[in-house]
Amino acid sequence: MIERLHSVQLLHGYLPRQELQQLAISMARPLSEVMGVASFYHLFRLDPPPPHRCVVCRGTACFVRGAERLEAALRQRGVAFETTSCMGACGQAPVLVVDGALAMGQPEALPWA
Amino acid sequence: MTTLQLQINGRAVSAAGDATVLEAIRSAGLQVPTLCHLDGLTPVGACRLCLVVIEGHPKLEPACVTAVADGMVVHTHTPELDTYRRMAVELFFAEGNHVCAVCVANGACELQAVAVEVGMDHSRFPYQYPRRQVDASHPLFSLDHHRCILCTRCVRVCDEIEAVHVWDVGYRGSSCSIIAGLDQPWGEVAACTNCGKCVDVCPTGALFRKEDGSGEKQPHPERAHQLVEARTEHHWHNQ
Repeated sequence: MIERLHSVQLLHGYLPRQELQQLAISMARPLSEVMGVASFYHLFRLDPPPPHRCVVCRGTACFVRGAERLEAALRQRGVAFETTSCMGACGQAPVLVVDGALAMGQPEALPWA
Repeated sequence: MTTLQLQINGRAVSAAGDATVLEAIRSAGLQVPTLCHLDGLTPVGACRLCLVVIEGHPKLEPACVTAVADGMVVHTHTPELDTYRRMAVELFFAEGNHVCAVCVANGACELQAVAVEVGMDHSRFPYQYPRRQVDASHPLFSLDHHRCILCTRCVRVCDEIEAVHVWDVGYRGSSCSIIAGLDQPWGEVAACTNCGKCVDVCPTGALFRKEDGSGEKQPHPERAHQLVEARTEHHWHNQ
C-alpha cells in the first residue's frame, strides 16, 4: 500500500481524497485503513503543496543570524514554508531552499515577493 | 491440548497450552486491571495496565499478549507494578480531557473504575488540555475525542465482529486519533451499519448514544464475547 501511495503522491504532489478512495477500492481495503497509513507517515501530504516549496533552515548558525526574523517575514507575507535542521550552508546563514535551490535569507530576494 | 503448570503469586495454576498469561490469571480467580483488552477481540497490549513480572524475563510483560509457558513464575502485584499502573492511569487522565461530572459514562466508565482500583487520587503529570473535536454527525451516536483513550476496542470490534472497519487509528504522536473512513465525519461514512457495537464496547464516554445524558450511558462490553461465542460455539445468551 505504501508503494502505491508513493506513486499517487508522485503523480499529484499530494494524496487527494478521491485517489485514496480509488486506491482503497482497487486494493479492497477499508477507507479508514488507507487513511490511517497515509496520515501516519510525515512524507505523505494530505493537502496540496503550495506553488513554491520553501524550506527555512533552523540550524544553530541560521538561528544566530536571524532565521526567526526570516520566518516572521515569510509568515507576514503569507508564504507557506517548512523548516529543517542544519543544511550545511552555515557560511551563508540564514539560508532557505526555494524550489530546490539554496537562497540567502533576504526575504526581498524571493522570486514571488 | 497440553496443560501447562505455572505459578501465579505463589499459587500453582494450570493453564491450557494456548492460553495467555491474562487468561491464566483470571482462571485462577485473580485480577489485573485492563482497559484495551476485551474478551472476544484480538488482544493488542496497548494500555499497559496488565503488565506483570515474569521471573527470568528482563522486562515487564503485558499479560494479555504473552503466551503461558511451562514452569512460568508470575507476579501480578508488586510495589513496582502498582506504581507503574497508577502512573499509566495518571497519563491517561493527563493526555485527554476527562471530566467525570459531565460525562455520559460517569459511574459506568472503565477508566474511572481502574483509577479507583489503582488508587489514583491525582495526576503527577501536567494536564495537556488538548484541543479536540466532538463528532455528532451520525444520526444515532456521537464521538467525543476528548474522552478517547485510543484503546482501539471500537476499531477491533468494527473490523473483527461487524467486518466493516469504519474505524482506524489516524495520525501519530499527540495528534493521534480515531478516524472514521477517510477522516470524514462519522455520519458521512457509507460503510457504517449503525450497529452500535463500537458504542457498546467503548470503555469510556468517547462513543455514546445521542439520547444519553450525563451518567446515563449503559455500555455492554460483554457483547463482543457473546457474539463470538454465538458464531463459533453456537451458544446463545438471549434465551
